[in-house]
Amino acid sequence: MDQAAAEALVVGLKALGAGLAMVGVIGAGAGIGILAGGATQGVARNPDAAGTIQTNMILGIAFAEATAIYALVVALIILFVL
Amino acid sequence: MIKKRYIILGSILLMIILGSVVAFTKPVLPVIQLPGELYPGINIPILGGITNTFAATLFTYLIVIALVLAAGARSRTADEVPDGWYNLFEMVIEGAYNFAEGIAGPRVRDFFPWFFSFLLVILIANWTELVPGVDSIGIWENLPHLHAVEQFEEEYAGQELSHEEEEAIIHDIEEELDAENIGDLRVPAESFFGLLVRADGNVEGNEGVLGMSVDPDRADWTIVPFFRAPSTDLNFTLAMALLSMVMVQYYGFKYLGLSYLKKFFTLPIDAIAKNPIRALDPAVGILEFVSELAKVLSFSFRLLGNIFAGQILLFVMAFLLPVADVAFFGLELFVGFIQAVVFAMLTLVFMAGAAEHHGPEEAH
Repeated sequence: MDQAAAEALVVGLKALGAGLAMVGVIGAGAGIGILAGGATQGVARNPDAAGTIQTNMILGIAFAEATAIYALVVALIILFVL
Repeated sequence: MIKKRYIILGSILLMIILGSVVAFTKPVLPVIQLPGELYPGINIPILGGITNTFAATLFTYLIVIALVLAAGARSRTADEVPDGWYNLFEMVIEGAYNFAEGIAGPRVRDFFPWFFSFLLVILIANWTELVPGVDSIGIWENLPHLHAVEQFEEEYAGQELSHEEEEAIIHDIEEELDAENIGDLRVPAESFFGLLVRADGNVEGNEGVLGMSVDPDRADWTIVPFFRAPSTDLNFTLAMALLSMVMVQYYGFKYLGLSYLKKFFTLPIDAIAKNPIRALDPAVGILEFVSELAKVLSFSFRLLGNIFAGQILLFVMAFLLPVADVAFFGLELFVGFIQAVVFAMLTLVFMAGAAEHHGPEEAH
């Protein structure tokens, strides 16, 4: 394999790796959806508790989102640091 | 006098025309890399160079300090009825205080300064990326030269060389890189990844990605910005995360004394006799200890990932379809705010959690 082809392969594999790393976002997406759905139901049933529910929802989303962000950071490192 | 809305509408129209119709006004993509870019030629003893993210951090602190001093000065001379921006500031602080009180309860007076400081500093650090000129005004840099300087610093680190010798070596590496196409400097226009770091131009017969074309002569130039949002540098986010978690431990010790350590290192012999499952407590304590360390990582990567990704989103959208950037500015405004709130709120929750008594033997 000549040099140009090898470098093109490296670029392609980097993009592929970054894309695969982002598969980890699936779980966070589903988790945030479930969280927001549950919170909305809670607010609909008990509008007075909206403040508390919102606070807890944002906290839960922050934790669920953290895993997605790890995947994102891995993808960014593959693209821009490696 | 022309109404404001006509000026705004006119500006938007002008932006659409300049951004989409006249293709050569498309912005140049700045160089994208995770560590902050160093200012050339500045070398402070011991401390090393200054990065553009550090300069933006100082800028952020200046804004925060100015805001706080101004609000403090205004509060001493305030009339009975506050007005203008001071009214807004008071409203924000009051809202934040009530919000914090709902989480931390009676200890809010201790935790609120940390909560609001984190909120203010990180909010302004996040929104720095939205200021026009940040990320887009900088040094016009030749990519082979940039890579050559990096390679030179790696290979010749610690060697004493005169300025002329340095220049000559860098020039040689530059020629070599240019000829061998190392560092993807001249990847074909079809490569989308390569497109991320190059200027865009219109050349006939050069079909690029998504119908855009790339001028090979202009392609090797990029911008190294003077300022970059602090939150896109791991140093800033890690510093904030460490500060937050160290203060969480401090409040744990302040409210519980040395018994705070029971959360991590415990061997409840009496409890084990009654309930054998409590023999797991030492292992749970070690897990707690590890999770305190993991919180630092989680804090710093959450902020970094969100804001860095937002910044790249803005770069790429400005490059692909400049008009759409307006919508993404709105999104980033929201994301920056939410991330600041999440950081401050998690700090508050951890502080409140550390100050609470822990374990069933105290609770019952």
